[in-house]
Amino acid sequence: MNLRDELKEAIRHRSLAMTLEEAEKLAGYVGRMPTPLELHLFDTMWSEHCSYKSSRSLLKLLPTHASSVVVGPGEDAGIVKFTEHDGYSWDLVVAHESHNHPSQVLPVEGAATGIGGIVRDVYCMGARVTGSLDLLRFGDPLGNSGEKTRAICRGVVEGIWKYGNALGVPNLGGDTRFHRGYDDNCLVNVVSLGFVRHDRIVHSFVPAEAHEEQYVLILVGKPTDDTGFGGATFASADLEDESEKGAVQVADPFLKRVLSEANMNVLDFLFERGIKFGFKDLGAGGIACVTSELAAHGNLGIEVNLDLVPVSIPDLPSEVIACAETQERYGLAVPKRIAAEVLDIYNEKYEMPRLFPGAGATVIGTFTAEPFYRVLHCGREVANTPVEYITEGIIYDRDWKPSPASVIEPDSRPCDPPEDLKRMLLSLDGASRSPVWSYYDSEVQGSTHFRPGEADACVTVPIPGCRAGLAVSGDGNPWIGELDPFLAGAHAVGEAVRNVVATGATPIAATDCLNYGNPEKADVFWQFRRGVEGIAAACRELGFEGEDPLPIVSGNVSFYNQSSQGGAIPPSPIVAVFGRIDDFTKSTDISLKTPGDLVILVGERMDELGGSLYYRTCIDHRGGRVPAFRGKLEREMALFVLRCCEAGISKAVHDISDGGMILAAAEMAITSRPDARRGILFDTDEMDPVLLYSETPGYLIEMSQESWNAIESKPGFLSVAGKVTDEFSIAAPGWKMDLLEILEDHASRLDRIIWREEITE
Amino acid sequence: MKDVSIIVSLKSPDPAAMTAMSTFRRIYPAKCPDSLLRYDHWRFMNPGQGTETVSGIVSRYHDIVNPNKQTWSYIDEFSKPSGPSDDGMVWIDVLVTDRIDSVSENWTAILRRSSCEIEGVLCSVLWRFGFASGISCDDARNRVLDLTASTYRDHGLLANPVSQKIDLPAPLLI
Amino acid sequence: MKSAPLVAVIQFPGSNCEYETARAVRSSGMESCIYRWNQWRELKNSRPDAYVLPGGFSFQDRIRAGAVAAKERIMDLVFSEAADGKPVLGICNGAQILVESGMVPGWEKGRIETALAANHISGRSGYLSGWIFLRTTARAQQICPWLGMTGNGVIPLPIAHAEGRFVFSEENHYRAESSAALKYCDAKGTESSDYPINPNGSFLNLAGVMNEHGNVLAMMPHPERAFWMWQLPPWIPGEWGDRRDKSLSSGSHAAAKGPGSMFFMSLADYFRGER
Repeated sequence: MNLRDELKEAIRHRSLAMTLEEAEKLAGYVGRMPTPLELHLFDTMWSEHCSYKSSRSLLKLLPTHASSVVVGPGEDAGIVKFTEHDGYSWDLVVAHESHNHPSQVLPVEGAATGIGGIVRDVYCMGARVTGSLDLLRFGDPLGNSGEKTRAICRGVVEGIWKYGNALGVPNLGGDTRFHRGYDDNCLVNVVSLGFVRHDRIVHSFVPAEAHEEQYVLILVGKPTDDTGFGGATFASADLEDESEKGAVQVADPFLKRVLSEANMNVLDFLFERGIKFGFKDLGAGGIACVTSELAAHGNLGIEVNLDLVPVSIPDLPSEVIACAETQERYGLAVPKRIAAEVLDIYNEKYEMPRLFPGAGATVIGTFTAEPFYRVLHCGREVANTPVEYITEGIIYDRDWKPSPASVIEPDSRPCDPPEDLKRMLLSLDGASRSPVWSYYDSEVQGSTHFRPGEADACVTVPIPGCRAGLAVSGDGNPWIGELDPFLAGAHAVGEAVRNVVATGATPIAATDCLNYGNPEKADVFWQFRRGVEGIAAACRELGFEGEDPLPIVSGNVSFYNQSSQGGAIPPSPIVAVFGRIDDFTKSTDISLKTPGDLVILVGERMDELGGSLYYRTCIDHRGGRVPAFRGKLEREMALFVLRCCEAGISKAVHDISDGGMILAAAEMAITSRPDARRGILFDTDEMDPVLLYSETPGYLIEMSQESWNAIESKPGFLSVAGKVTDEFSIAAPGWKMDLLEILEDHASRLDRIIWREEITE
Repeated sequence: MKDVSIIVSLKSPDPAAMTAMSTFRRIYPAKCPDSLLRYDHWRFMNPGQGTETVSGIVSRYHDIVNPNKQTWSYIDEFSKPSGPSDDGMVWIDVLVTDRIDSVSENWTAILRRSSCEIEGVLCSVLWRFGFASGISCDDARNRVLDLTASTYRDHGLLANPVSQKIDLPAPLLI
Repeated sequence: MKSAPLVAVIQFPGSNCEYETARAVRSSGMESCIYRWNQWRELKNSRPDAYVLPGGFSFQDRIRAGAVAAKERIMDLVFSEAADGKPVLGICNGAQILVESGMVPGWEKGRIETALAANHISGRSGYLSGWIFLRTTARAQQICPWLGMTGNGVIPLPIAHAEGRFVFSEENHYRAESSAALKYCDAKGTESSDYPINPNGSFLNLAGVMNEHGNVLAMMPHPERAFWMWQLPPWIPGEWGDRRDKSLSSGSHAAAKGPGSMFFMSLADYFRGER
């Protein structure tokens, strides 16, 4: 057999995702037929998931530089400056990933390992993880695949609470949306954040000191098995049938919690001794990726001995030991002279071997001056390749072809505010998310100020004793996505920014996860391209620190989100925005407070109801004219809201999104104190769907008449919409909607459909 | 009509069984079994078409059995003799059931509301103890009872009799 | 001589509320130190004045919440210290460990006489997070060192658990009331067994159970998560809602203490011997 045939056979036999051309490139690098381990290692490194081979050329469009950025995209997580406290600089560490395909197949484990993986990315920068949130997109639970969708939804939520709650990382909400386009392919995007002292940031490469002194590689965590084998390539392949997906890993938050405590202890020990080290979590590609990347990014080689790796299954082939994606593991590069002390912390102090059979820390490799990646197993050399090739990656320029949706607006737009509001409040996207949140622990760590649903973004006070508050929100609207992929990207940024701003926090950084179909299809790649352009445009306009843009500091691309019939999901760029408020006690929630106060509308309503909740639920139409993205205005409105908050005059702020002004008003009323119920009486008797239901970006602010009067030179985008009343209703001269009668239905709607399977309409 | 029961196990090692085993080894080394397996046990009450109804439910609801991570089989409850088997081990099953259990109630409600012909469902945990040969079945049963019923801090582990029911098969007659 | 009482917070593998619990103790004017499960020797030598078993998922709640941790060696020490009258508080998973250790209600020494069973809610299973209201029983206020200052008012606290339903065997029903320390009620103070006022179906609406002498308290709600006023949700009704609004408008919000502080301040007060 010639080399070409041999490679072809290996790809088939090993179910590799790489192309024959890629395999030939690898054979050229090593100058022979690659070993099985090499094939699997490069298969992972060159997978879409790790190499961004389709997306890299476009991702350059995203603004990633700003004076606040400490670490941009490239390492496991992004880092931005956050605050000074007690003589130290504290930085915010953020990461954003998708776990879509695994969650579709194994919802509980998929969602659990989603959190497990993303928190490792933040931990391994040396940070304490202080929050996570999931951005969930499910199919139509009442549609053709409803039964499956409901089971997936239940499973995903279960996976999130079982992992996150046990790990002790507060859940900071996120969002949940339903769209039939996700019937065969749910989205589970996960964001994690944490804080690190600036002088204690850890990097994921072996330090320069390793050129002077012998460094070794310690593997710590769960014993290696075969469960995750092929996970990275799995994430990049179409979902065909469910039988082959043994690739999802089993998550273990218990072991992770103990491991995190032990890691913290080890990092303290190393910093106190002034020892330089490298630290990286094991994700896609397992031991092979972590060892080669730690070495390659530090310009060193490494020799790994697989015989030293603790395994839970005997007689595993070398490529499985090296590339399996067993959860809850880290790699640590430390000087040989202190390795024994580090092992002691894991194995004796924290008794990892007792708590989980086979778990613990072991030295498995030695860094070398020769820049080669060598792996030994059973006395044989099973890999030997120059390290530079491993991280070099590959890149493709994909074709794209515009395929815009047609703009069809409805002929008539009947408007019956009480009835329309009721429908929207009870719709899948308008119903309360509290049934989902009720499973999440949002308060562990004791630093939560606003829980999910109380304000437009969760607000925490993450550094004990320091008044700086962190606000975080994630967004992305598939209904906009299917009508205009550019605006989907722009509004994902805009909406998340508004949510953060509504609490009084200034946006300081963003992350993105770009969820699309098959990039080899020209129309899908066009959607992707437009989404990236939309995010980039919005980030350039919505910077709040000097002339800087809002920097994207971490992110992820998830392609091949589609059904076996090939239908791609709606273009789904999802963005998380992080904000800082210097004094968290000034942050604003959304609940109405004082009867007689004014309700100020920020942002003129425009006739752009395409994809709106009103169109979808009240007149069963998709429409076509999506809200435009007006970056300059958006920024001016945000600055106005922030100034009101700073001045202490805004008593409640809620952004206008799904369901327009009327739904925003209802949500502000519903969150008022049960012993002091409030409502809103609009000034106008005009029953105008544009005024009431348009999702043109904007805000509602509660403030007193005196505060309103005191605002000098009011910007043109402000108007008085109505007044706060002591009646639990949304009303206008001529109509009134009593909220008490739908309160219980609104609160329990998702619970009844998803968990109780009460689907008889 | 009669009830149909199934047992469900993880394809990967069961972490709870591993923890139980290591706890036994630590605190009751003398009574420790040689093997311990754990299963979800689902008892389906009066399924209309017997096993056909049950297999329909199992394939329909992945919350009960997810074929990607679990395997399942029917279990003829307690008529299958626990005791010395071909492998020379003495196997004793013990069933632990919450006296009041929302999971069972909710699934009963869901299955009744759907078109499944079923009166109800009851979930339990089935622990299967294996002892190497050289132990009598009675001794093995007593050990299992001791290890299961948690009555004092230093006595028993797997079930708290205040809130849980413990079922052991009848003593085996050989 | 120790300047301030030392409260030991025990970290089991899987605990996850140990740090904020230790902070709550310190913010109440006491010293606090976290001891790992295998540091029983260090714990013994430091002779703490009181013990807290914090919340979390010790051993991942495997087999049954609290069941495995109850059998850890360090619990021998806590058990005997409790028998000597030292104050012991178990919060959430800590309460489950105390129950599985037979430390509450403790009618017969060491016997497991209650259970914290899975929440019993119609149509719902699994974890439940949210805010509840509770009141302290009169007897508990007198004898429990953690509750001396809690008063008769309605106390809002967060819960976050899947197994929080106190259960007693029938023959003990008659004396369960004598061990009642905390009971769920509505925002106005009226006790009820209706969900979500009683969030888990707990017998006698019990949120907390103590031993006969009152020095050991097992409670499901998390006082350390309501230590500061700013930890309260904006919608909290009643007296604490009014207090929250007041601290906000007076600019004292960051430093104002919330309802959960009363549990820790009570202990500090107990040690000052002011009771």
